[in-house]
Amino acid sequence: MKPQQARCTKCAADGQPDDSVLVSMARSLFQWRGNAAGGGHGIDSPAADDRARPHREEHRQLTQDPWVRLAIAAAYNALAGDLSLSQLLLVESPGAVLPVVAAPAGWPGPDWGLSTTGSGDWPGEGSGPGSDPASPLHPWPGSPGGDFSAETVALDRAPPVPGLPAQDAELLARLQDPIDRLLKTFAETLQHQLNGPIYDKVAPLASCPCVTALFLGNLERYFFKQFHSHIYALPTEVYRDQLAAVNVRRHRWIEGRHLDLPAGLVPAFPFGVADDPALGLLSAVIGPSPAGAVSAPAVSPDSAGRTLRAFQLCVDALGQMGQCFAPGQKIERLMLAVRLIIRILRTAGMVSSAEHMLPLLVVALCRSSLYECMVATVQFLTRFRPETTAPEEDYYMMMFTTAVHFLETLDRKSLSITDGEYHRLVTAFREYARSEESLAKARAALDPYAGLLSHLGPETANASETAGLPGTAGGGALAALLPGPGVVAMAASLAPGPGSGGGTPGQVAVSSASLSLEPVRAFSDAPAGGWNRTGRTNPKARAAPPVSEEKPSPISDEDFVWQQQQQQSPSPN
Amino acid sequence: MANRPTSMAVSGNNRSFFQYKLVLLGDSSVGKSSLALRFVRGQFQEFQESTIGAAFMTQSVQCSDGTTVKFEIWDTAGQERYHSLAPMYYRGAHCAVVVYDISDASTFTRAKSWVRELQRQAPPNIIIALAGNKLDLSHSRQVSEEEASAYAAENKLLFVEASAKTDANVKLIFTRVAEAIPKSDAATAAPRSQDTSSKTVNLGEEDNRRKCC
Repeated sequence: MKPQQARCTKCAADGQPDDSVLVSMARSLFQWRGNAAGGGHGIDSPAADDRARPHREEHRQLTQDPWVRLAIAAAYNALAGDLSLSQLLLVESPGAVLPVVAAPAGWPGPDWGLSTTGSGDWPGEGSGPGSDPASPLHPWPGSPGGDFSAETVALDRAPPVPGLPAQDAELLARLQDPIDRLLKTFAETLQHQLNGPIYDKVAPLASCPCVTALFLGNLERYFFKQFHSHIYALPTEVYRDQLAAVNVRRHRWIEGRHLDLPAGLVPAFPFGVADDPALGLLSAVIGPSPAGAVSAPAVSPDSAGRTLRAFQLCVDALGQMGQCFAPGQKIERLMLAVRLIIRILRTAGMVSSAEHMLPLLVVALCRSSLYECMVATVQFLTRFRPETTAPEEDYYMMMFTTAVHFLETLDRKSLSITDGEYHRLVTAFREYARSEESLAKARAALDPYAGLLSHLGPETANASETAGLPGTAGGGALAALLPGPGVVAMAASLAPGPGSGGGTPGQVAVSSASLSLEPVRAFSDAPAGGWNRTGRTNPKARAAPPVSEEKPSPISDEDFVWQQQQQQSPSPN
Repeated sequence: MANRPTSMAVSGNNRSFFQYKLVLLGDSSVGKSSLALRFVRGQFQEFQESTIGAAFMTQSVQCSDGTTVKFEIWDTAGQERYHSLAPMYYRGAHCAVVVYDISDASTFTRAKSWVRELQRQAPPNIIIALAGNKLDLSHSRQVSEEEASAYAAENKLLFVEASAKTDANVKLIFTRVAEAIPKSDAATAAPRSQDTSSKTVNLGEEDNRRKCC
């Protein structure tokens, strides 16, 4: 079944397929695994090496997370088969690349109980071999016996790298574990996809670099979507994110002048913050910004309007970073944000040096929704970002890391602001937190689900309020942030759906690291969209009325479609 | 990223091409990015046509021994509030150019503290150059050339006074750095993964190398 050679209209070239994305993805996994075993890779601070040491235990834990090992093994399997794209697409003998496993009877299919709602990354996703849409999602089937290994072809090969740790090879050979069988399912699904829907669509264009890049991009997305909740972050990082979010919420009013940016670059405060209905109240409390700052809804000359638009897009791009799965997508959005910042500076006739770009990035980050998961995003990208040949991505990744670190440690001393002004703004922010609380109460009266969630809402508000008091940012805010056991228990008893059940494949994951870290957030997601395993990336779903199912995902497969939509929509206010 | 090799020696032409990461340090307003802009684009102010910022640029220098050195120039934010973040930038750098303003003594003091910090925290074999900018303002000079060059000699720094505005000595800074970098050092550094000849990635080898370094 040789596919026809075809030419892509875009590149009009029949070059060699390039599998570097997959290889680098697999290598990232390996590298991460190696780091995790060897002792951490501190994120970002001068004392990173020292600080990483206590994390080692968590690295170890996460590495032992069966799902992570699964991901590693899947990547290894791809490599062990010396997988090249041509093989991937033009599989002559299906067993040559990935193990072929006949699905046992009653196998739940490749859906794995993971949320794949709103898919579209992957044609035919969720319709693997053995999947029967009519059959209910099965509890994990009993062991059908170690009958997989005989049919695996890739396993029989010697590992191409003699120095490769033996346990990786063993992991594939040892298939008694249900977890290991999950790996087989993944491989099986992938195999099926490659032979079925994907093959038919892509094979005719296999020699075209454009298509292969697209294919590998989709493979990357698929991979990270499947494993997102398991490889997303370590417990310490989630915890750091919670602390950082309190700090950022306390300082969300910062403007360009507080970071010594010239007037006119950064719009006055509430502009750019689109995700919060109470912000109108806050801006009323804070009062008009001093002369020099651009007021958002002003009928402005062209350049100011362009600046506002670019800033808004930049904030949106950063927000999207927190909502997409694959590292490539995140980097894409980051680079878009960077280009927008450069455009803002160019419009203002300023040199786009680090001295101007970093504060702009800080302010945009502060106003975007990414602030709730920025530390984890940095860590995720550090681990899984494909190696690029573009050094500027390295640089702007570093700038992003710097901005995150700056926001994490932000306090009055890092701002150009008088004590009086600072306290005035922080106090105003306390008012804002109260208004948020009353808003949550109003929601509670309207909606039974929100009634459950409102118990979580004030937690957040209180945390912000406590943090808002100067000098008490430490223990009080910290204690308020930690979800009380009562809340968790209550949410657990009330939360409907598979979260409270046991024995589904999803439940395997539920018991693993990621969910136990953040019971509050996870449970608050449950009513919104069933068992939304990706809720971690969607902070807006928390403490908000249930989102309607048909609301389109903000992440579009078409790159920057959202940007075009933004441009078509009228200017805010 | 910290583990990622940032220098590479492309072995195409007998290791005649090297790429290094160069960090610009110094107080704000000393003209770090002006120096870089002048060096990379030959202009003092950024013009409109550039699509990528002046914070990150690359430029190549021909060395006297026939090799070509390509610098990845990493600009840093010089304000004090970002000071604690600077190590993230110079970690893994092969060379650093510490810039001060000859018409402002305080920036020289600050440059000295940058040099101390680099000597303490940066990679041990980093090449440090001290650059006095704004030579065109020598009539209002506050830092004498003798003082600065004595300091540089004492601390084994490269030293150049330059002016981004008049383009005096700007290229000299980078050429001196390029000449001073031990090329053999880079040759042992890992080449990047961009050589497309071998598509199979040798994971074990890379792991071993990482451990033994």
